[in-house]
Amino acid sequence: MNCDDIMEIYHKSLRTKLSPDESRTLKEHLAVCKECQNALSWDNAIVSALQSAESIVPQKDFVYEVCKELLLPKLSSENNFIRDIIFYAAAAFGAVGMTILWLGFWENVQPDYLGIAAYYSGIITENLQSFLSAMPEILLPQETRTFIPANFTWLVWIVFAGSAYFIISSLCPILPYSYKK
Amino acid sequence: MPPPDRIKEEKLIAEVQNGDVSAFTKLVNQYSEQVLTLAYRIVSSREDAEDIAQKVFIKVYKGINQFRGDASFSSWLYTIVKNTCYSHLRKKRPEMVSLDEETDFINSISIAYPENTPETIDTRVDFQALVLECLKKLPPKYNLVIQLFFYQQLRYVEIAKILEIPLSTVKTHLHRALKLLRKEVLKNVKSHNMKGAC
Repeated sequence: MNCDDIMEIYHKSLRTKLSPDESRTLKEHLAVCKECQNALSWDNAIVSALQSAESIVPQKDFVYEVCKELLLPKLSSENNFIRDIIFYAAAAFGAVGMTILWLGFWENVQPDYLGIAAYYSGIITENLQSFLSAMPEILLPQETRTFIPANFTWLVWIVFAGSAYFIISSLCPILPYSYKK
Repeated sequence: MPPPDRIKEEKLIAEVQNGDVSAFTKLVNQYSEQVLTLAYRIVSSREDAEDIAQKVFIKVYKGINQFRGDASFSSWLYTIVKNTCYSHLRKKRPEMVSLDEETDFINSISIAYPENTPETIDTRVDFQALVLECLKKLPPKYNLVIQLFFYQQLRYVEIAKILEIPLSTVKTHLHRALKLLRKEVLKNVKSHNMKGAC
């Protein structure tokens, strides 16, 4: 048996129990072969270094990233239509809110040359009041009926800011609750 | 009768095959560390290994219905890791024409052993880091056989299935891989010794 055969027996011994014959051959050879003694001691050190090597721990969001890769294309293809409808509705709502605000702002700080602001705010206030008074008491308590017209501009501001944020976040995916996430 | 862990895993795989995403996340959690480590040891880059590991699990999810349970799930998984890593290496290192380059010379190489033994190596040298560094220099097929045998603790027959080679070839590969690794480690130990002496 040459040295390579002996090392093969040794490598076998790393995982399986050697037969008495193989054990004896290995021992007899090692007793006389300096080369194999050296190789074996280095291999032992290398194997123990390999076996005690630490594993690489994945990032905390690894599972999320894998699932995102898998599920997002599915979600986007299935829900694109609904998401787009919601997005355009919000954009339209934001545009209407902006117009109302602009009219109100214009009325307060500029002379109403064309009477546009007065006309629209008249329509809005009138319709809003008739809408509110038509609501059943259980849905809209009396105090709320006066609160809404009194704070109308602020409420529109809030709705408009929400719509604007929705539109901006859709263009900028890093923002929280982004439409694109 | 298969062991309880195997039954649990088979149940999990059956759930994934039925499209259960939460079962899939459990499977990813269970194997992500092994997959990432194996990929890292083959491609030597954390970033690339993470990309590969992601690709592997995506392939697993998409191809889970092709898994028939003839071999263990881990063998099937590591075959995907191997193929994905090899394809990555082929793209990254086009000069590496064949990953199965023949290295018959390994059997004929002679190794000159340094004066010191592993037990007397300078403690400043992190031996484990050195071994892992040398492992990266091995041809991928030898690197992989060492990973599967020593790190993943797989049996010869499982390694043969993953590498798609005969059982006897696995033994030869392992023998050659260790010889080549030993040669590389000794070369580095000698150079460390020479630096130390200077």
